[in-house]
Amino acid sequence: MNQIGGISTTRINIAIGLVSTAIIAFQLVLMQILSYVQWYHFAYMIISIALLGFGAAGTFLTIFRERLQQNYNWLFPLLILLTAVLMSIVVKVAGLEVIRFDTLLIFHDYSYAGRLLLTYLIYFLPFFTGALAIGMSFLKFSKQIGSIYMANLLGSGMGGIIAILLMHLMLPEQLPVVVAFIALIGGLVAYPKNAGKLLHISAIGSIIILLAVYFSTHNLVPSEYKDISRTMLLPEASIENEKSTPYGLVQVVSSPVLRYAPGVSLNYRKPFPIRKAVFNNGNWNGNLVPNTDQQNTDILNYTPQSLPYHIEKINRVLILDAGTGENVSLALSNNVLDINASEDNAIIFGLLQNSFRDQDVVKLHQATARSFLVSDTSGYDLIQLPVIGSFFGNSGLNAIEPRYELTIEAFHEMWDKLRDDGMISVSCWMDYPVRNTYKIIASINQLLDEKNIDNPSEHIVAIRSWSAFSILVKKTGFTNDHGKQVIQFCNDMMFDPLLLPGNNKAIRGIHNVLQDSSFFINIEQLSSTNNKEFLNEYPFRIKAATDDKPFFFQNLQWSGINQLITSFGEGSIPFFELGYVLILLTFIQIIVIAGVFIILPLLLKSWKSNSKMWIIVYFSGIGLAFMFVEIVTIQQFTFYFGQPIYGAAASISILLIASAMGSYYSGSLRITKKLLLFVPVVIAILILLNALVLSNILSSTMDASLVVKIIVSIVLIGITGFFLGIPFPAGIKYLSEGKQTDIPWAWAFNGYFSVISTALATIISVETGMVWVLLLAANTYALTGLSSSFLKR
Amino acid sequence: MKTQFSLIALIILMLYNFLPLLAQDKYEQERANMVKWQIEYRGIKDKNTLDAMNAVKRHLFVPPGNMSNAYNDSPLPIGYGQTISQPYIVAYMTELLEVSPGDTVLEIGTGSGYQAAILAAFVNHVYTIEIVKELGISAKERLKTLNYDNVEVKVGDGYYGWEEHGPFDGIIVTAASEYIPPSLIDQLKDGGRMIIPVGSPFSVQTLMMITKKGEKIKTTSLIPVRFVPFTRQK
Repeated sequence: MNQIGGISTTRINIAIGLVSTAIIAFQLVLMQILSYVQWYHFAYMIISIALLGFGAAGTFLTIFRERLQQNYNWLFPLLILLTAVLMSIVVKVAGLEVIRFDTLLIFHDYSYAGRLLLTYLIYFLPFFTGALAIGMSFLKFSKQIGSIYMANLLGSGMGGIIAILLMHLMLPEQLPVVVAFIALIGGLVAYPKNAGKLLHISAIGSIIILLAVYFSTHNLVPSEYKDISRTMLLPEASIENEKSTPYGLVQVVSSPVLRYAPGVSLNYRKPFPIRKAVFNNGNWNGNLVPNTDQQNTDILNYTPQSLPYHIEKINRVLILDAGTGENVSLALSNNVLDINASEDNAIIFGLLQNSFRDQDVVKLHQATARSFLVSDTSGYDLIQLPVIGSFFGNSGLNAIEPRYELTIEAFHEMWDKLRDDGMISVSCWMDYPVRNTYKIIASINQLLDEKNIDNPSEHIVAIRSWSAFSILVKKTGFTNDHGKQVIQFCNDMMFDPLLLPGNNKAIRGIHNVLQDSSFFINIEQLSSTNNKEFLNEYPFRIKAATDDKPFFFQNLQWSGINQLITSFGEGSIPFFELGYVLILLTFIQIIVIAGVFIILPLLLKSWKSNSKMWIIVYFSGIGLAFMFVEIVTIQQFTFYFGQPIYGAAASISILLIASAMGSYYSGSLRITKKLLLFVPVVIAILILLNALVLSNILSSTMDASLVVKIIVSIVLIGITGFFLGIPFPAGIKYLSEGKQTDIPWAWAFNGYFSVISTALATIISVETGMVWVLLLAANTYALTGLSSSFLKR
Repeated sequence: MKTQFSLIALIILMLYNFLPLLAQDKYEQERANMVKWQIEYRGIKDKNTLDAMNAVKRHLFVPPGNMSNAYNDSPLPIGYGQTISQPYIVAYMTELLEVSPGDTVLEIGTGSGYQAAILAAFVNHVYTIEIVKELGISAKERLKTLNYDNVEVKVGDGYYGWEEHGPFDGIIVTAASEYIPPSLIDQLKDGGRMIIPVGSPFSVQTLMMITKKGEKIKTTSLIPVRFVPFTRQK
């Protein structure tokens, strides 16, 4: 057994495995915490920050290589202990009032951009120290890189699984310190026999700090503009119940003034019921709707989404993404005989079960909309989606959250599940400038077009209230009687018909007046057979979302920016699509920060090498393309499993563990120029195959059992993952046989491109679709392989 | 020496008294600029509104740390997830309300008290309700200190309106919600207007106007606003 200054390589491998586990788990925990205190898109920021830590560590190693290597014996455990301490405290530090940033204030008060930057730096620290410990080991044991890299990847894979388990057991604020204990154990495992005083003090200090943090008060403060914060300001508001899951933190809040009347007609004159509200990650998710109180369900018949029940007798309904049960309650109040409802969030599903446990006609299914649509074989009179968007607009903050239930493929699946005279019902809050409403109409029009419906206008009715829009599409088309019933319903409710078979221009703006006619003109253009020009020229992206580009709320169209500036003024752009603009801002910031931390310090140090060009191309390429593959894999398998967090955890873990095996295998290979060409090219071919056939394989096995799905995932991700694990250690091993001073450079370039690739992959996939990200990844790997021709040796 | 010392002391004393006046002038100038460039320039014509925006010292309604930004063309956070609206929005809502001297107005969501003060500058009486206790109490004290005797602040649930003082010539709901309480419509006078902003204060907002004529209620969605009234391309 190899001994380095009193530590065996086995112990080093275990320590690396543990710190890697802690780093990935900490990354997922931070993503969860930021989703709660801020919004979902900061999850991507955390991935970039974690990778930045690795990149910067590479640069640090380049500059201080010799000194670090000389002191490896005590520095390695010390860095891991420091990582543990930092993990336990950074969330608390970033949450201090003087540092805390707020998404909504960034474009209003520029000092918040500085706070955001400071937050980056604080969160960056534990990733940096952890990565430095790992990087030192890569360098020290470059000849055994296969096993070290395997420990790193295996540990990372375990980190995903452990984070998921912990999220079930504890509240988000308790998790950082628990994860820190894993790193602490890593530090203690790496403790050398001949440890000095400094290390003794550090170890004892670390244990004391972690215990102190563990037993101290944990408190996460969500943005004061989040729904939960505003609700908690109501008189006597209290959190009745809260439960953490990988889906997010679910909280049930009660207050005697928390009323429930979402977008209800102004003709509803009875008192509004008081209802408990459910929040997921601080965002309003719905109100609990007890099934026993008639008054509660009556109010929903005064909302636009009740339209189908006013014009047709519904016997069998499917409610997708049922949430807290608003639409289930609506169906119950209309005496529907058979109500099926799907909801994927386990905790919300539990609340649903509790609400409707005495109702025999209600059948609840814990599944995403898409997986239920694929697995279910029955037919429905009505398929109803939840109300889309938010009354408050939210500034597109959920822009990059994929919504697979709103893609054109989803509408096809819904259509195929309808009985002959069945209907699909979609409602959304009105947004200004109008995007969601147009996008839904465009999707429905495309659906009817692709179904070869002759007179599409006869298959659609739509209405508009003071706050919302509702559209129905019917398989057999609407009759004149239906039209009359819609008009009657609108008159009773003070709503306005928007789309009806025949001409309704005279009655579409009686109760709810719009200041100009542009909305109606746009609707007419959208509904015409020749709507392509309008779809292309409207400043927002309102074409139907697809499974390849499922980002329903990302509507900013680059080609339309000039038009928006002309119409609304230069400073207005961020305020239309704040979420997406923040992703772009994060991307730019991360390029600059990564440049400063990774590349700039290297420029100050001379680098003499015969393989400069190869190192730059090869290691940058695999850094960029690996993350491209990982991000797309997460998105594809999240959809496949229908369980967002499990899908992500499964795909990350399989990918990392398979890569670990590939990496281990690389240790037994003789690294030649040919191999460095061959492996990336094989990967490029595998990725191309993925891009061509993966979605078909996934679609055809979508309704398979979980076991089959896992086997399919292991095969599909595993093969590519195995090969993906080879290029990095193979490249490092190749360098270690020559000039070792090249290794940190290689790691730094790899780190820099890994950092920027996360945000870049997201942006490319939003703009062009996931297939293009895979094609780019394949090309990059091919280029990486071909770069071996630059090798001198 | 004694004379020199007395002279210096006198100068310091004068400066001490004069500096606040300078600051006061600075705010007056900023306020005049705000009215001219942020409000009048953008099409607000109602004289009562313009005079009120000129008269009410907005800097006294923002948190001390934000006083220097009080006349900026933007909303400002006042804590508790609330904001003091952008000056233009306040003026636009006030003008849209079409109230005049002698009228009584109900405001739901007092916040800092600025909107109430603007209205109080020319209407007969403003009744304002704030659900967040801390905000309601501080607004009440602020308005009292500034001698707005025709404003009454209540900490409570705006859902019920303020029946004993109704019906109102105009109602302003500064904190929009997913529903419009029936009691507010009931307490609106025949021919009266209710104005509600929809959307986050830091993003694009649209204003909604509800008018009541007899039993007939009508809503009008107005153009989206942020910094400037967004005019759609023809």
